[in-house]
Amino acid sequence: MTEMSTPATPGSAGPAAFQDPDTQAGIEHLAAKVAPLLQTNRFDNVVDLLSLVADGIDMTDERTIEKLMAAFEGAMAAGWTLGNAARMAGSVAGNAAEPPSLFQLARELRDPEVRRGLHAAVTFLRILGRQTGP
Amino acid sequence: MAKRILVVGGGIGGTMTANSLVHKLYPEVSSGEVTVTMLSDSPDHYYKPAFMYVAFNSFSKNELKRPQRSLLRPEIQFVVDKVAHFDFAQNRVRTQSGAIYGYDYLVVSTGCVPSPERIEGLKEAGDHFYLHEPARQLADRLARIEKGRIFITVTFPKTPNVPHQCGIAPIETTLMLDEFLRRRGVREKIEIVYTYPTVSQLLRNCLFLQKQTCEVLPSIFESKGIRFKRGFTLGRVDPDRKIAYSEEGDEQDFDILMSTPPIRAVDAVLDSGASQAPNDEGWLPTDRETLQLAGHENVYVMGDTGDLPVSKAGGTCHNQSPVVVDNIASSIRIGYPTAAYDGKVIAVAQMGLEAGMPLWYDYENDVEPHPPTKLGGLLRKSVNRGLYWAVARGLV
Repeated sequence: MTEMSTPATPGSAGPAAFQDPDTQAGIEHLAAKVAPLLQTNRFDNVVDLLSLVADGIDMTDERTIEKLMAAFEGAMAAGWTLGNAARMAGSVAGNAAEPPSLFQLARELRDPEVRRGLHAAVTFLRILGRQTGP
Repeated sequence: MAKRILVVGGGIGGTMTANSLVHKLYPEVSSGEVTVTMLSDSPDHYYKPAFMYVAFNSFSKNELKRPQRSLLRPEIQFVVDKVAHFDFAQNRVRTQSGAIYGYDYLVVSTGCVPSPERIEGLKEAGDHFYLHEPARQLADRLARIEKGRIFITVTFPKTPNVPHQCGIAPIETTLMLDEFLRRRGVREKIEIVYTYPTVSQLLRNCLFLQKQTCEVLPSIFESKGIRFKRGFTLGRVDPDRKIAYSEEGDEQDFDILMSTPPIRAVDAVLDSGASQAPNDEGWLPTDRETLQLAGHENVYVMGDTGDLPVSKAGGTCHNQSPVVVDNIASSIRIGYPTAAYDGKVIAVAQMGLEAGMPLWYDYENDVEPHPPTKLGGLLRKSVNRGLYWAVARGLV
């Protein structure tokens, strides 16, 4: 009933949980599984890793998420756009019975979408030049 | 002749479905045997579920907007034109510009319309967060209120067993409101009263539309000093005296009335004549498993537009979309639909300004509430800030 408002405090369900035979068997199995790590102190690395993850969660806030997700969306959207263009272009070219003549290719330049794409490509190169310049 | 698939509605349901249809039917699409066309009344796509954050000044409009074309695969023909009339018998729609679009398969994902004007005085005196402009107005009021009483109401459709928009939203915003006012340092001078109507789908006198969640809510509200009241079905509002009257005979004063208002289908769906829903609400009769429109096997209904008992929310569309896609693909390829929707809805509830609670349910199983966590909150913030746009593209 009150799970949401008063989360269980650590250990509050402990004694009852440990009396459960299945839980006891599970803990014994787990102890056997991690024994090699415990005996060589290598389990410390796992604890340190968990600690690092917990630190990361504690330190992450809305601003961090906003920056991370902006980077994610930028990369995802760029990949999506380029992938779409490559897939559809490959499909259109692959479905053509004959490759277009030079004259037919030149006529493609009259298509506003082709011109917009060329404009974007040329602008892309200009920006690339700006960012790689002195 | 190519099979024509027409998707009406550029919200989250229509967008992810159109993209997934192209992916699923790519051999047919690339060879010209299948075409996919989307009709939307806007060149832009808004992340509508985040309008509730606008009410707390957490998001601006531009952060929630992307060009619709940028979210669609290039194989989809995208047309900005509002559908004015559905002619299900003739397999065609007419748009506001007068154009006619025929189809072999139709996906109706036109959402719903918040309609506070359906309750006397609510439009004049009430606030809500289901559209951008009302959310902005509410934000201005919440940012300035120094003392008084914020009264929260929830209105269900009159159609039996059909929920209001986004089932968890009233709880989410009530908890966000509590923390927002605490951050402003004015919480002690402002009374928050959460109310719920007598009838909430199949339940009576609860605080939520599912029993288990309803049972945990009192202790949550009490721990935060939020008052709550069952059996308050908003009947009318007196804007001058700022009093909300219930159908049960109660009357309550308020300084801000934060409502989940009545909703209805869009005009073209209302006028289609296909709905038998009472109160002129317009929900399309939808097969709960195949998601086909009753009497029209080539028409599929998604999200808010249907009359199913599941939440009218993006998390519902996310689980309905694969069923619609599979059924259209299998109908084209083998002649009959093969997939069934189990009523599954998955979402991450915002429980206050920081914590989140992933939740899921279906036709058979209700949400099992568990403690909200910071990690759940970070997941919700990640959806809000970026993952949503991958979902719209059909990538997640």
